[in-house]
Amino acid sequence: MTKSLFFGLFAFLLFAGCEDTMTLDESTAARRETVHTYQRAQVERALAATAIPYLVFDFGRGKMEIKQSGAIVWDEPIILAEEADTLRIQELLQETAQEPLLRYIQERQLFEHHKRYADSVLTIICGILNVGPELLQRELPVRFDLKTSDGLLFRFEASDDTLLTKPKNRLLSVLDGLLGVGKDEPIAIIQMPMERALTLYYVARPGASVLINPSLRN
Amino acid sequence: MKGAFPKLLLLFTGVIIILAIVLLQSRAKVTVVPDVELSDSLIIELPEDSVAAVKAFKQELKLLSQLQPKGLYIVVDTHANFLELRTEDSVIHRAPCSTGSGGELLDTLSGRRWEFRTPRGKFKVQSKLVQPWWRKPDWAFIEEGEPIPKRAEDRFDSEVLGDYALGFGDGYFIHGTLYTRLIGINVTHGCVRLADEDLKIIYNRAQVGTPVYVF
Repeated sequence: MTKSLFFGLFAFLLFAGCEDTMTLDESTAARRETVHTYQRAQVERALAATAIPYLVFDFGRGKMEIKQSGAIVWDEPIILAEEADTLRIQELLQETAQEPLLRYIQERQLFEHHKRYADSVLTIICGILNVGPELLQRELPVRFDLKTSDGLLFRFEASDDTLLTKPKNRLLSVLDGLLGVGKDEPIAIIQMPMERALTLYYVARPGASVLINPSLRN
Repeated sequence: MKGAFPKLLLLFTGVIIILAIVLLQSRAKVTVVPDVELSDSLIIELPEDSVAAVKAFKQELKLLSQLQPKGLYIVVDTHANFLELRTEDSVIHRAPCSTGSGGELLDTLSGRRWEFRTPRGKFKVQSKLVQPWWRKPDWAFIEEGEPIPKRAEDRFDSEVLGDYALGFGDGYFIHGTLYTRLIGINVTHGCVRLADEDLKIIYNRAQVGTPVYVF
């Protein structure tokens, strides 16, 4: 995030120093991008003032981050399921990402998952601790959707689903399709290992704040 | 066949109704409350004057960059149960850990209640201990159904915390454990447990003052 902001500063200095040599469109675009970067920094400082984790999807640097109090606490590269999505995402985001500055997760939908711990193991541990298994069990997401408050849909798929579990999960996908679940078109399909996706899935609950940085103009 | 048809029709209708209910429930709108709401009026516009704008821009970037720790910091992920020693750009060491179970204990005699949850937020390493002893609090006895000792020296246990402990405030520590097979599961009473080798690495690299983020 800091690096993208410094790129924004460079773009702004270019605008401020070379206005005479740029076309009106270019200077307007650079100014708009700089204003957006400036305002996004203010928004992030406001988020960092709380202790609540927030998400940063930085398509400019190809990175997703979870941050808390302004520090990176989790990060993963954005690996798209289909390479062809990249240009479409950049175009879509450059159209839509100027407003709003701050989004939040409106919906989170888990389609397929594995249990992180075997039931037999949890039964023993829960008996000792005198707690319910729901407190200890974690879902390893294989496929889930996040929809932002302004309707941007991101789909996440496991990059390490096994051959043994894929057929079962494919059947579940077919059933979802029949029920009309998950039919909306995602803006991006992002892949990552399930263990990493677990953290993202649990942090990205409805209400979680999201900052989206589109690709900076070249 | 004639008798079977109404039953089949009834069964089919029942399945359709159930599917419809499931679909409707999944589509039911739930009001989502954002964690943070910002009024547009709180966002400051960039000054029109170029000199003032550059100054304001640089100041805003500087304020934001100051929030990211420079150097090493510790991150505890209570969802996946991992602890990282990292910098802004790279992870130096990543280790499975155990964090608080979220369970509760109620002492029916006194009415006292404890919640065993690792606190979330930003902290700092406040102390570093070698061969730490655990001064067992009241809940540790109540949980076992044992009487709370009257003598202070009866509370101490030298075995359970491992070789090192790093305190990060309010009685919470990153420490070792005898129960290494449970590392990776939320089983603790709030502290963060690591295996011996991982704990040694963290102890050797972290200093008093090293930031600790728990989320």
